Amino acid sequence: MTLAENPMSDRALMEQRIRALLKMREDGDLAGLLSLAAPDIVYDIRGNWAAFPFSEPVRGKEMTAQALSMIAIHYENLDNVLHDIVIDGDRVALRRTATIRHRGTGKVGPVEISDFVRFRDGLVAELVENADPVALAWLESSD
Amino acid sequence: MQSAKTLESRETIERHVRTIFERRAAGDVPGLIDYVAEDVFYNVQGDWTIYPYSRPARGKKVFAQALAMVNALYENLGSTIHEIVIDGDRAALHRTSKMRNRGTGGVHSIDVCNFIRFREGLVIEFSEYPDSAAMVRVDDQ
Repeated sequence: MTLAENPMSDRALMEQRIRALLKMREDGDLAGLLSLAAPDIVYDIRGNWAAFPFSEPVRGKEMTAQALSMIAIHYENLDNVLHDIVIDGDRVALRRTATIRHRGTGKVGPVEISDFVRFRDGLVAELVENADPVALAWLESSD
Repeated sequence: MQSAKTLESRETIERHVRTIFERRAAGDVPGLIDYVAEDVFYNVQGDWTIYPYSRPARGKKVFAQALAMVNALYENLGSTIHEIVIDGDRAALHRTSKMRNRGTGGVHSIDVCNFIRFREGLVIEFSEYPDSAAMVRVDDQ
C-alpha cells in the first residue's frame, strides 16, 4: 500500500511501520524489511562498531540487504522492547532494548539501541543505528 | 539565569536543548541544572563500567552530583549536535562530543544519543546512550 492509498496519517503510518520493522528484525524477515526501504536508502551504523560485521554506511537497497544479512549471520534479534518513539515531520527517533543472541558463542543479552529514521513517501530513506558496542563485544566474547 | 516555566513550543524546546548542551560542554553545572525539574530522572544506558556515575538516579541534587563527577574525570572539548527530533514534550538528539580524560590526557570523539522529556519547560527525564567502546578508548593509557 502506498502512502497516497493509505488512510492513516503520516504519523500513524510511520509509527506502524517502525513497529513492523522491529517485528521483521525479530523474525529475520529480510524481504519484508526491504519492502519498506526506499531504493536509495542510506543505512548508517554509527559509533565504534569494532564488534560489528558491517560498520560503514551503505547506500541502496542491495547494499543494505547485504549489510543486514551479514549482521543476521552473527546476531539473532530475539526481542525488542520499545521505550520511546519520537516523531517529527518525516523523522523518527526511537530507543529500544534488544535481546540479542550471538550465533557463535550462544550468549544472550540486552543491548541498548537508539535509531534515527527518515521516511520519504512512506518508505525508509535513512536508517541510523547506535548500539552499545561494549554489550555487543560481551556477547561475542567466549569468557 | 531564570528558570523557564512556561509551556514550551517546538522552538523553545530546541533552544533549551542546545543551551543545555552548550552549558554541559562549558562545564557549567549550575547553569545546566537551572533547566532541570526537582524530580528529574537521570537515565544512563549501556555498559558504563568505565563511567564515574553509571546508574539511573532521581532528583536534581543527584543529577548535579553525577555531572560534577563526570566533569572531574573528563574535560568536554565541545559537542556537535547532528540531529534533533522533537515531538511535543520530548526531544531526541544525536551528537558527537570531544572528550579528554584528565588523567591520561587521551582525547577522543564520542557519539552520544540523548532522549529528553520536558514538563513545564523543565527537564524531567534525561536519558543518555553513549558509545561505550569510545569511552574505553578515552580511558586507555
